[in-house]
Amino acid sequence: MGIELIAIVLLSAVLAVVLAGYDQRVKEINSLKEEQEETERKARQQALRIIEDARNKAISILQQVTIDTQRQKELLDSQVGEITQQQLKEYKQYLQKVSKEIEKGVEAQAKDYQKILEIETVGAEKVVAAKIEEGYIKAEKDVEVYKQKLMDKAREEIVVIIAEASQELLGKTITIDDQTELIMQALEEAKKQHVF
Amino acid sequence: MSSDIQALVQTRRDLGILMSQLELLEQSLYKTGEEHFDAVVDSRITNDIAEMIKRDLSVEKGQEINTRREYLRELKKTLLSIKQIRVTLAINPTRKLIEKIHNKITRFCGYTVILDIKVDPSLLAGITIAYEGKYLDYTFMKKWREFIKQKLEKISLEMLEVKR
Repeated sequence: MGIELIAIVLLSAVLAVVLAGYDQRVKEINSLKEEQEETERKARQQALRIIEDARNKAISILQQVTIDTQRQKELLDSQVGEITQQQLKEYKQYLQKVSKEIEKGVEAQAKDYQKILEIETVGAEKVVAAKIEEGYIKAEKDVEVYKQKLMDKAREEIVVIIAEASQELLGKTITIDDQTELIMQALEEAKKQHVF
Repeated sequence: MSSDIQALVQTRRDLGILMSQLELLEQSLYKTGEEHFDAVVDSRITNDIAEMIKRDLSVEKGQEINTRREYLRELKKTLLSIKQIRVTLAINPTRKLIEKIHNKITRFCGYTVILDIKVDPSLLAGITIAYEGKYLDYTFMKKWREFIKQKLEKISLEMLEVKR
């Protein structure tokens, strides 16, 4: 019984020690949990702060960039305006110069053209006069030729009319003996002309 | 034969008649009875031509066909080789006038010719001759026209003189 009691006491002591250790460990765990939660909270707060700071910084940067862009734009506009004005000025001067040169060239060419035109006009007048003269002579010749043709035609027609009119009269008055005689004379004439 | 031909064939018309009769005779060489060569010569050929053939061939019974055929061929060949002269007259010529013209031209040429006669009353009188590419006009109408033309030209010149 003693042993049993000793064993029970011993076991109870051990149990007490174990329980005390367990309790200690639970407390430690709880403490660690709290620490972890606190750390997480702090970390979350820290993160939120960082994000907030970053956002604010970003907004600030954006605002700064916008401002800079506006300034750059204004500056660029100003510079472009200046350059444009300068270029326009130069261009205007160049145009004036070119215009004057063209004016001079055109004036010179116009003078040359005027001279050529004068020469050509005089030449053309002479040519036209010659052509008119030539045409007049030709027309006169044509009229003469036409008149001659008309005369010839009229003569031919008169010959035909007279010959036909004579035919009726002469045809009846020429006897067979006259016919024979005329034919024989014609043959003699042909012989003289070496027809045979 | 040539002298007979000269007398018998003076115009193109004569030539046509003679050629058709020679054709008839050629066909009769191989026939008998009324269509026999001798019968045709007596009955259907012009007297002058028949006499010439009889004289040239001395037609007798039994004479060789080949001789007759050869004679006819030669005669046709001779006729076709005779030169032709185209003459145009103002009147329809009598046989006598044709003979006169033919004889004269034949004498001038030195060989027999055949006259191809045309008639054109508008010539009034005279003759035109077309021979070996030559054409000559010896008509009264031509002379008459030339005369009138000359007169008219003279009148025209005189009128021009008056104008000037």
